[in-house]
Parts: sequence; structure tokens; C-alpha cells
Amino acid sequence: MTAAPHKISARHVNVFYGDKQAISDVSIDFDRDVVTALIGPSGCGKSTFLRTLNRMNDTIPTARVEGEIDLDGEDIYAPEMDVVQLRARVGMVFQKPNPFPKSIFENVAYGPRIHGLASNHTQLSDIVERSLKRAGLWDEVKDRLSDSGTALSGGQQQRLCIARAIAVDPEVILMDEPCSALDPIATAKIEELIHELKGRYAIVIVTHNMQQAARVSQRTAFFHLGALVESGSTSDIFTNPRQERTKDYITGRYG
Amino acid sequence: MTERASIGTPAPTDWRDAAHQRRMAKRYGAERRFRWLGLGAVLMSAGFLVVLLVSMLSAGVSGFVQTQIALPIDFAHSRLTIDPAKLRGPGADLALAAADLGGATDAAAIAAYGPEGDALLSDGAWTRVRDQLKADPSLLHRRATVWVPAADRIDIAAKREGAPADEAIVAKLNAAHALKTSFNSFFLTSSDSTDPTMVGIWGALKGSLLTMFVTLLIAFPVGVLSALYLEEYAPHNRWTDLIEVSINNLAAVPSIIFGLLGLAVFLNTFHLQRSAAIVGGLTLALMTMPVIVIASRNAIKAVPPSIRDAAFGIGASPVQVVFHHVLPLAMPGILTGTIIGMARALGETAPLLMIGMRAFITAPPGGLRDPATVLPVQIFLWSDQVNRGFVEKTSAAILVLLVFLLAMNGVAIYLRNRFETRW
Ligand SMILES: Nc1ncnc2c1ncn2[C@@H]1O[C@H](COP(=O)(O)OP(=O)(O)OP(=O)(O)O)[C@@H](O)[C@H]1O
Ligand SMILES: [Mg+2]
Repeated sequence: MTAAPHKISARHVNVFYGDKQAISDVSIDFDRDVVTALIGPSGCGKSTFLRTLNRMNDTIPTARVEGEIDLDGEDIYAPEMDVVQLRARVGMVFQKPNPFPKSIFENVAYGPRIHGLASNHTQLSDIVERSLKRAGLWDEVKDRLSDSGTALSGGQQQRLCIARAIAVDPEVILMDEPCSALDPIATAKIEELIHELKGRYAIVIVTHNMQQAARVSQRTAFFHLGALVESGSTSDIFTNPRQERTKDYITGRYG
Repeated sequence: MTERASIGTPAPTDWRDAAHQRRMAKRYGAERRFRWLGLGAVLMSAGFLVVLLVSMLSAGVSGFVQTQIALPIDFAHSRLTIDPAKLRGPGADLALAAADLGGATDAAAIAAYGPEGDALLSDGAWTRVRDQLKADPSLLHRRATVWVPAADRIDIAAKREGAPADEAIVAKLNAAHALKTSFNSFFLTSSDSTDPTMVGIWGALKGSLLTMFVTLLIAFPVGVLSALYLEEYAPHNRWTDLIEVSINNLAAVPSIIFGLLGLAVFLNTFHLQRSAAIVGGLTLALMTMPVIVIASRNAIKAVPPSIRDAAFGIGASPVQVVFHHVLPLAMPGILTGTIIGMARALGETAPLLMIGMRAFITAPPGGLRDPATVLPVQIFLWSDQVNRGFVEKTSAAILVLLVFLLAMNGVAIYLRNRFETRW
């Protein structure tokens, strides 16, 4: 297989919930080692679009996706694509921290276990330790790995979810407003984490916080009413937007 | 701003004026009334429970007490032809059955208590003599006193509820120290009989156990799997709506109709054994299944979608999501529903009467295909008897049924606490 120019490229994507169109004709590329921020007013379809990238929309019975989305040049909506493997390759962190009501260890070990990434307990423990370290949570939980994941604070839970996502060694990480429920310190920790993860993964992050988009991303895409209005390098979008609507949103005139 | 001014600034609310005070008093009054009503409701249901327990206990405890009469027997001079050597080993029952123990017992009673003496003893008194002989064959060579159960009317008279003539006999026997009361362990180990002094609950209890076993074995997996399929896999369309409505209706169908269904399907079509535990269990499983399906569906629906998202998001397959996450989290609710359904099945009489489980059965069932009866049917049958001795046995059987039920609930609560997860 020749290397595709982009990690993910979406072409003419439409998404419908029943008869209602939530995304219309979006085409955009995401690259390796780049953090892309998706911004836009509430209800414009950012989450919907993000969920098309690992086919999480399959779990919503009314949702229908049209168009083509390629991961490394392979159409992920092709019938021969295995959804389970796709979601292992394209991990996801949700807006609300959603650890399993199991131990911290089990939360992180679950993914590697079901995908057979460890052949014995030592390897599994190594993966868990490495993932928790990369998520910046290890020092806080290393003495209580058998405690319930739900007993952690909100920020710790979100980092646990990130550790859970990176434990299966994905190629892409999708984050849907990962900091919306967190205080500034926990937010800073997660932003730091995104910086560190950037070198290994393609990261797509939805955020309502313009400063956050400016801080963590190299590229930014602005959505409005289900359409992609403008995308480009983050510095261009923020200092020199081509579209009036983008400018209005970034300067806080609506949203 | 100009509009504001034209409306005028309202006067600050005076939270202490009379109208507010009245409103507050009304609010407190409503609060108090509601608390008292709630407390009253709780006390009323607790009161009913206490009345039930007290009346059952007071009527039923005497069913566990048996009046016994001392029966002196001179085995050496009775005309029993038993080879003492045969009393050891497997031939004992046969050897004892061949001998006329009943006759010997009656003769001993007449010798001890006059011409009416044999009427003082229970019809099954000789079985106690037999058991004694089996336990101690050396008795055959000497005189011994065996305690045997008293006849039904003597038993009642001894419990101060009999006819005056019988009470006089009891007084005489008491004076001779020939009467004693003891715990009736026989009641827990034997089966139905025509003689109330000889009846036991074990046959019905075992029948209930076997029936419940079959019911649980069929209804639980089928119910839970149906619920899982309907919730997790089935598309939501007109057909699944129809199935949902049917299941809800099925849960409300009177139980006797399930009895007719069981009669038609299991007996008339599949020709299974009449009044066997397997047929009873299958019939009750039909009845219990919809309850389990409905409870399980609700428990599965209550599992937060975020957990499903988390599992799918990390690449779990639908089956893994169900068995690793949804089912364990729904288990407490599923078990609660199951136990409600099973408790209802345990207390069910009508459908079992339809499939012939009302037969008079004197031996505990050896297996699922043997004729059996169950506790509630046994209670129903005994309560129908004219013989006074059955009244206390009926209450005693109800106590056994209640204990069974409590034990079942206890197991359910234990399991539920084990599966419970804290969020
Ligand atoms: N499950 C669903 N069924 C029907 N319509 C939906 C569903 N999920 C989202 N929508 C609709 O799709 C549109 C886009 O929703 P989406 O959640 O993608 O917005 P968003 O940009 O993520 O908003 P926010 O910033 O508030 O999270 C909205 O109009 C929403 O009402
Ligand atoms: Mg969203």
C-alpha cells in the first residue's frame, strides 16, 4: 500500500439524523503528528462529525452517513472494514468522563485485553503503567490501582479515560471537549498531555474554548450550521480569517 | 431603560407580612400531613404483616408439636415372627413388613388401655414401633415402652381443643404419665397421608424445590436473553413493538390460563407425565418469563449510554459490550425481577391444579418426572379437609412456605449486593 498523503481524509460527508441533515458536504484532511481543533457554535455538528471518524454514529439507529472517509487511504465505511479494529486504531475521549465502574487497573487493561495486546499479566501491567504515565496520572493512582475508577475526581477520571484510549496504541485520537467539565488546573494538565501525545498520534479535538484551540492546535476548522466554513493553520484562522463568519465567531460576536 | 422606568420599581417584597406568614403556615401544614400519611401507610402494612405472622404462628406452631402415648409392648411374648438376624442389613424393611406389627401394636394398646385402647393411637403408630425395632433389634427379646403418636382426637384434646370425653381421657393418661408432647420432626420428613397425625410436608417441599429448579432453569436464561436481544440487537420497528405489547400483556394474563396452556402443550401435545415437577416447572416458567423479560429490559435500559459509548469507543464488539459491561451492571435489577417472578411462581396454585398436581401423593418425588405436589397446592388440599387435625397442619405448612420464601429472598438480596456497583 502506498502511503496516503493524509492520515484521514474526508470527502463530501453528509450526516442525517432521520430526515434532519446535521452535516452537509464537509471535506477536510487530518495529518499525522498534528493537532486539529474543531470549533463552532453549539449544535453546529462538531460532535456529529467527530463521531463519523470512528463510526461511533453506527450506534445511533437514526444516523446515516454519506460520502467517503479514508484512513490511510482505506474507506472506513467500506463493507469490508472491521469496525472493532477501526475503533482500536481511532480512539475516542468523550466530553463527560466515562470510566467503567471497575478498578483503575481494569479500566486501562480492558482495551489491551480484548484486543489481545498482552500475552501475560506482566506485559499487561506494563501497558497499564505506561499508559497511566503518559496520561500523567500514574503518580496519583499508583498506590490504589484496585480502587474504583469512578472514585476519582473529574479531572483524574478524564485522564484515566485518556489512558484507557492510548492503552490500545491507536493511530488517531478523537477528543470531544475533553476539558469542558474540568477546572483550570486539570485543563492545563490535559493540554500538556495533548502536547506530549502530538508526536505519536493524529489528534482531533473539539473545543469551545478559543484560547485552548490556539494553545494546543496547529490546524483549526470552523463549523457553522453543519457546514465547514473554513479550515487552515491555527495562526491563520485566528489572526487572518478569510470568512466574515469565522472572524465574528472568533472575536466572540456570536456562539 | 425607559420602559423600566415607566413600569416603576416594585416595592421590595416584605417576606414577613401576613400573606407570606399564612402561605408558610400552609406549606408547613401540608408537609406535616404528608409525613403523617406516609407514616400511617407504612404502619398499616407493617400491622397487616404482624397480624399475618402472629395468626399463622399461633395456629401453626402446634402443628410442629406432637402428642405421644407410652405404649408398653412385651415383644418376647407377642406372636411376632421376626428373625432378629434379618433386622441387620438391607432385608430389614422386608422382614418387618411381613410381620403383623400393626396387629401387635393394637393388641399392646388394648392390653395397656382397655378395649378401646387401640383407638387412642394414630393409625401409623406401628411405623414408630417398626423404626424402634430397626434401631435396636435386641428389643425382640424383652418388654419395652415405645412412644407412639396419639390419635388425632387425643392430640387435639391434649392441645385443649377437643371434645369433653377426649379431654377426660387425656387427663387420665396424664395422671399415669403416659402422655408427652415433643417436636414433630416427622412433619418435616414425611409426605401426605389421610391421617393428620402422620402427614408431613417434605414431599410437597421437595416438589416445590424441583418445580422451582425447572422454572428458574428455563425462565431465567430465556427471559434474560430475550431482554438482551430486544434491547441491544432488535431493530425498533412495528414487529418489535408488537412483541413488546405481547410480552406486557402476557405478564398480566391470569395464571390459570397458563395452566390451561401447559395442559394443552406439555400434556396433550408432548405427552409429558401428568402432575410431574417438570410439567409444573415448565408451566410456571411460561408465567415467569414475561416478568423477567420486563424487569431485565428496564434494568438494561437503565445502564448509562456513556458506558456503552466508552466500551464501543475502545473497540469492544457488541457481544463484548453486552457481556462485559451491560449485563453485569443490569444484574441487580434483573435479579430483583427474577425473584419477584419466582416468588409469585412459588405461591401459585391454580395453574398447577390444571396440570394435575393436586393428586394425593404419599411419597416424596424421586425426580423431575415423578408425580409431585407443591407447597401451596398441599396447603390448598389440607385446608379442604374436614378433619380437625388438618387445621394446624395447614398453618404449619404455611409457615414452611413463608420460610422458603424468606430464604429465597435472602439469597436474592445477597446476590444483588454482590453485583451492586457504586458509581
Ligand atoms: N442522536 C441524535 N438524534 C437526532 N439529532 C441529533 C442527535 N445528536 C445530535 N443531533 C442534532 O445534530 C445537530 C448537531 O449536533 P452535535 O451534537 O453534533 O452538535 P455540536 O456541535 O457537538 O454541539 P455542542 O457544541 O453543543 O456539543 C444538532 O442540531 C443536534 O440537535
Ligand atoms: Mg458536542
